[in-house]
Amino acid sequence: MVERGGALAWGVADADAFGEAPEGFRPGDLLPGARRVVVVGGSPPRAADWASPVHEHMETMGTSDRINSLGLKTAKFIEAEFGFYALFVPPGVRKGNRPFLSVALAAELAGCGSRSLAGPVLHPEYGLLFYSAIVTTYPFPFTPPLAEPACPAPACVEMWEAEGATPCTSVCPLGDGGCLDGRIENGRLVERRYDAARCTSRVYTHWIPGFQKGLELALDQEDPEARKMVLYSSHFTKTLWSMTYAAQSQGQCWECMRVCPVGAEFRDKA
Amino acid sequence: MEITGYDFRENVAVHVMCDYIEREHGHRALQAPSLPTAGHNPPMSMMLAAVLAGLGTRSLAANIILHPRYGLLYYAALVTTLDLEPDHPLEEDVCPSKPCIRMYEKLGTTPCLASCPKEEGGCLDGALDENGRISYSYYDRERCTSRSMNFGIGSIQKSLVQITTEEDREQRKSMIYSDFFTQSLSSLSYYKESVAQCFECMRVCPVGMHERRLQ
Repeated sequence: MVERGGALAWGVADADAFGEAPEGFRPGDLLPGARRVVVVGGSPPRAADWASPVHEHMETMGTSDRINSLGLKTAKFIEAEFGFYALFVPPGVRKGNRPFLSVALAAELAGCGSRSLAGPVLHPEYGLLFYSAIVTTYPFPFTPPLAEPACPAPACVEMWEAEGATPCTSVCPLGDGGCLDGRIENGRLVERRYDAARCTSRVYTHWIPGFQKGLELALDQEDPEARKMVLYSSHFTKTLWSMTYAAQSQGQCWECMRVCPVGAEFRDKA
Repeated sequence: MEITGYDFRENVAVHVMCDYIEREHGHRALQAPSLPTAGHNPPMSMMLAAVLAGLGTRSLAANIILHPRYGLLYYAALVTTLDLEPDHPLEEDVCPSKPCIRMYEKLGTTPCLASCPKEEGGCLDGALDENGRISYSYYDRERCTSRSMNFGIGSIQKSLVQITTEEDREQRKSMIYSDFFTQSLSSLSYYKESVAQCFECMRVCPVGMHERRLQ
């Protein structure tokens, strides 16, 4: 069903395996009696999105919401077909800017992919995918986490051994104003450093953080004309578009993913 | 429950139906607008349309239209020039259901009225006549809205009033970046979260309860 709906990957995690998630943000906190977390993945940027020389296009393609639609349909399907509770995990944030449930952790536990040096969970074949999760009381069989992590890819291990960097850490190095750093030993990722605040300030230049920043700036203006200019600026207008039904500009920086060899073949077409 | 945000999917279904009618039957079909254009009244009442089309009847619980099998549903409508055979309103009221009539006869209240009684700061009041039909119904919409729409457009408006009238720059900044305002913005966005946060009158409603009880 999920493959017909457009999923490129899917898996099932044990609801009791979320011990590393904080209390209040585990499957059983969302749905009493939760047994499994179903994860569906797909809707990545298309090859043409990656190829577009117009950077605003990559800022605005908004493909991620499609996977949420599939998540909702999957939840409905489980309840209708199996008669068990199925709760779609909403994609937004709860208190403290924290998601209701870590979909990245769910994707890892369900064997859809593994965490990368760059941050996103990488599917071993497709690389970057967007994920949606459904917490359910239906006892689906588990799909185990990946035996072999998708990151680092063999090409990245080779680069690390030659240069002490990988494509993602070299495109956005923490020590040079970027967001990423890490260490590989014996071909395995053993340390990862990620400046989330810096990355967020660059990745979410529109969307809700962009709106908040624009509003703060506008209200700080004592001159009504200057305030008006901020409110009608193209940046503020774009943040409003991105926040509303256009679903645009949720992420504006994809450089660590652009250079990632995992799934590179799907980002390249004739 | 604050973030289910299901109530726009039916609009997609209506769009598909409109396309079908115009394409296959060559008649005009218009999605009936569900949001207010002025004041707080929609240009066309989906509730009235649902009742006239025989999908359900008004309930004691905030006038929500209850479907006889599913109870609470969200509705969308289309207006068309296609001469479809009209359905008819239901012959039997869905609300009050039989267990509610029995409860009313014993206790003078129903599950929904008991969960949110007007006299105790709630939003609902009502009465049944000797035939078990609704004879009086009261719904405090303002009070209900202030509780059930804690996020969404209302909370953005409320927050903006506070933010724009706050003179201290640092205080204003903390309000703009607060959890509450961030979550309000998230709910306003395409996630469609937090459309309503209180479903207590529906949680206790026996109509459609078997559809809500799973394993």
